[in-house]
Amino acid sequence: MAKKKVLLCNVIRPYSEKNSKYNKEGDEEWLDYLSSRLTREPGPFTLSAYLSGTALTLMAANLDAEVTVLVHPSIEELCAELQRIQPDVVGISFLIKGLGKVFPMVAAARKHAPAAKVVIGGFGTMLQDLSDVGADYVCRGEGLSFLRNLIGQDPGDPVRQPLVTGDVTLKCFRDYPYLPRARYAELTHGFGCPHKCEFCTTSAFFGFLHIPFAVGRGMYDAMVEVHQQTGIEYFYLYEEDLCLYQKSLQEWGGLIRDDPHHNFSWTCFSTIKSLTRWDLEELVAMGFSHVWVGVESVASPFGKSVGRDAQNLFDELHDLGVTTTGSMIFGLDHHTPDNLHREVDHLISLYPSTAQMGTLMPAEGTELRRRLEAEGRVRKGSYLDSDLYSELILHPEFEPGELRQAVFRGYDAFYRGAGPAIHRLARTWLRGARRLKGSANAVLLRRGQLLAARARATRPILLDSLDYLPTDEVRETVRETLGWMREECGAPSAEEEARARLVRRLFELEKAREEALEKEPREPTLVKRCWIEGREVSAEPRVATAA
Amino acid sequence: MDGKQAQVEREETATPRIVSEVRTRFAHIMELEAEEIDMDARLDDHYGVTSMKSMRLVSELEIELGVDIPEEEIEKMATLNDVVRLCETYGPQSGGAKAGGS
Repeated sequence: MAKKKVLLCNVIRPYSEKNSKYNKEGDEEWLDYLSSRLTREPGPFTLSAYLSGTALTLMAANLDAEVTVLVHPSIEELCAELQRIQPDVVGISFLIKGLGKVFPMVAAARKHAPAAKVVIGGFGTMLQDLSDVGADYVCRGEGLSFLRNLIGQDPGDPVRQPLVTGDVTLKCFRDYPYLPRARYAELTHGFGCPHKCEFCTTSAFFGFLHIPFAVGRGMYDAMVEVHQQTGIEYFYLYEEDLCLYQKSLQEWGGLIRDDPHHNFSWTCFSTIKSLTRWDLEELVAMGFSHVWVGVESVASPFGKSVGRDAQNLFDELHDLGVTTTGSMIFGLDHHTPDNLHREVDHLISLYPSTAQMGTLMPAEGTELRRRLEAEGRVRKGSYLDSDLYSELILHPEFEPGELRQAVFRGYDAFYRGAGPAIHRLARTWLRGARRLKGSANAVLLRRGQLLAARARATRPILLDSLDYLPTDEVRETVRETLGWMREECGAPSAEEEARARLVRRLFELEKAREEALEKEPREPTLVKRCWIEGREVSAEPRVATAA
Repeated sequence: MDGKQAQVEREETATPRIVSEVRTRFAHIMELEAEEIDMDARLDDHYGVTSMKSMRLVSELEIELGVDIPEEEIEKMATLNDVVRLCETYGPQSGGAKAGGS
């Protein structure tokens, strides 16, 4: 029997307000999750990384069908693929912000592939009533099982990890392909979160349950496979609280620790509560390199924050060379205009390598939404206003717009207090290198050498750019870090000095460009990949980057 | 001139294909018979059209006819004859969307 044909896509580009009525100002910037959120900095040091259509790819690689994935298609490209493929199933993944684009996409599917069943999925389906969109199915929650059921495949079939790669570099390096990028691959451990924080969209979306995807040895095997194909040794692991799943982590982490041929590293999301249960050195030996901890507030009311003191935890992580992301929410019940600055001070004190601040988001389907609606505290607004900086709550202590402004002031204060993320990353790697070089444990010793090499790679960026830093205090700290680097890695080589001069020229050019030219939105280009029965048939998987 | 007569005249001056598409697609979305549709009735009061249904109607017309109707115009359309007029004004010849037109 002929295999079903499936077309999976995210919402159509363009993403900028200038180019489409379905967008609002700055929407295209969200695609770069570092420069828009985690390293939202005013200077030239801002980092950049783009999302790669991970969820669509994950489903495509696990369907017993002929699957085409389109990431960032234009409406014209979508129509052309619909006409060419004549799929049996069209799956459209969207966020709430992308709702407006779903309508023309569904209409295009109806016109150009009239026999297709149209499924809409993704976090946008948290919206209550989507019957008027015109899709055949609304998939709320985990999508792979849904699609497997739809095409007649056993939802319990084995799963495989597709190759999804990305890279990190400075935002101002993006236009220069010859400048360095740190490559990574993405792997999925599981979906959903059992902590049930009342604001958490992810937790609500997956029914407050944890849905494992690939646990235990499978994670290590996937890393080996990716490394064989690409040489990549750094992995972003999708799981809301990876360190919660100790048995699984012990299994695949132990394999990393005992593997003399690879030096795998990984980044994850976790919580204070789960990290409290671990010996952090043990985790580092297993490749633990970066962690995103939702700190939320200096007086966090959430159960996931129970355990070690946050300051103590972040200090130990950094001492071991583990870089961090710390995130805060503005607009919690206990916040007032007088105490909000404490949150920023706390974040500066934690010194996370990257940081996120956002307004409290009462997403549909969450406990928070139900509570605030009952209290008459949800502001009516457009579906376009559903991002990290939207202000959708009515807070008795704040005038409309104040929370959003507080977030932006918070980012500015954080930058002035803590400097650029690229420096904090380098400093943390050096702290780890200095600590681990004295370790009697051979695995940790090797980790320390890796951290020193990572830090050294940033030297051309920091060496000749001190005048671009925000304050004298930050400059002094960077000088100290460069001193540590000299101690650990030796004096700068002639090549490093030449690269530092190149970076300086680029910074100057970037500044001149900002002064001379109006900022033009960067739109991504189409990424198209194809699978037949789980085997990728495209010649080359491509990385989603801005055009 | 009564309302019915005005409707007939307007439909006669509009492109038949546009009128037909607007009527047929609206009927399908609202689960009504096409012949029952009053092109001059108010979309909100008479038909109870939600913003989601408006977006669906406009999107289907944009894809089918290759028109591109600005968002501010969508918010102002009160009757199906308004929709017809918008399709005429923002048709492919006006530089509108080109994706869906067959």
